[in-house]
Amino acid sequence: MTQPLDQREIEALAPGWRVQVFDEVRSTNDVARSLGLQGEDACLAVLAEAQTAGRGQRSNRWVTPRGLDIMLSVLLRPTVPVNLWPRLTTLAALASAEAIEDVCPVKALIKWPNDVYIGQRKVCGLLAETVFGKQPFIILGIGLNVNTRDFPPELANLATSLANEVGTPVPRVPVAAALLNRLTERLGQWEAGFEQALMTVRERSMLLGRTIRARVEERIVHGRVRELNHEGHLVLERVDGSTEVLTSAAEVRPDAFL
Amino acid sequence: MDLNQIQKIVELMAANNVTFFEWEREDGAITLKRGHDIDGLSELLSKLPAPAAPIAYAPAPMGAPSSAAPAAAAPAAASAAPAEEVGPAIHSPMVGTFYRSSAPGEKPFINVGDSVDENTTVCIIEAMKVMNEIKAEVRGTIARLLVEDGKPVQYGQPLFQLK
Repeated sequence: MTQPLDQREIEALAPGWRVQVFDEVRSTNDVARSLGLQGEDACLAVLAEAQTAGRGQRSNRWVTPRGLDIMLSVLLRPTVPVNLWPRLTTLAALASAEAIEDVCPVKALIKWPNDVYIGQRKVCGLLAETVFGKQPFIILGIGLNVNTRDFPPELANLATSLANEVGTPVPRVPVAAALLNRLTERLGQWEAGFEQALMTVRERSMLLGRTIRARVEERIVHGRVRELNHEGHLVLERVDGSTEVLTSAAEVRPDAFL
Repeated sequence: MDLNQIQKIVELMAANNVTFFEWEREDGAITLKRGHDIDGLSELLSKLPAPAAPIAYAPAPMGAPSSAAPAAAAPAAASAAPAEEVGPAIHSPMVGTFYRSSAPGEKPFINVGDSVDENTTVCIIEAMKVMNEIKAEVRGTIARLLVEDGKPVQYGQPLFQLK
């Protein structure tokens, strides 16, 4: 275990955020969600040293050893129209990639739509849940591998951590603060400014221009990624020249990864 | 694959009401589509500026007129009485993928015959890995499920029929 996360230190480095650090939770998303339902204001960041039931996409589990990495969930109450809420993924993936580069001399790329990679290995994933109702809110969950050095064999070639990339332990407080500060900056482009953020996302895209396979519903789609469109959706061009716009896909793999 | 074979496939697609065919081998690939250009339509829709209020959604794909509940739809739909008084519908607030439960294998949020109110979660619409928990926002009883689990939905598309 590295130095514990200290909420005051993080708050001092990330103005505008209220930070709560828990020792062990089922998932930081669950905690942030129940705080949201209790009426907690936006810009609340929940972190935990250990997570017993962290969530990935739908039922995927996110592996998180104690005290090494960052499990962060932030509570947001966006004022933008609801149909623009899915833009959050694009903005948050960008913010995460930038935060990683703020603290480590690496190049972080975005694998559409919600993962951040260093080289050909995943370092960070994010997932958001919205709760509509009288006072709607979004919980954005970010899992970032900071100091995990050993991954289970099935992940060894697929996952990395900041510490593995730089070869030494990486203090987590500055990483958490960088994430929050970059989020503040990029979430300001949710409505006006989104196109500008997208330009940077395209520059960091791992998939743009590449041939990929992905699962959409029960089909496998195959084609070249022609564009990330004005909403950050992926435009796939099939061999016959026809296109398909994806807002959702699973098991997205560039051909070279097969 | 020569023209005769392609023609055969087209005939088979028409005979069996298949709308999409994709075939791929090392020496080439072919994609055949019948009916409306749903992809083109959905791309067009996604390019429209966001309207202030829900607009009419894209017409349902051919072969699935809403009056004749598709046989392939969830079995629960079969229990819905056909000529019931038609109430309001619950619409999708966004483009995305429709899920009836919180995770694969979990119980659906609601079934035909369930009462809902403003705060009842009825489904999840996933777009760009944002899981949007959709509330009924009206009171009523679920009469029909209009979309199958895991299928794409458009902005403003009716998801559930109430009575």
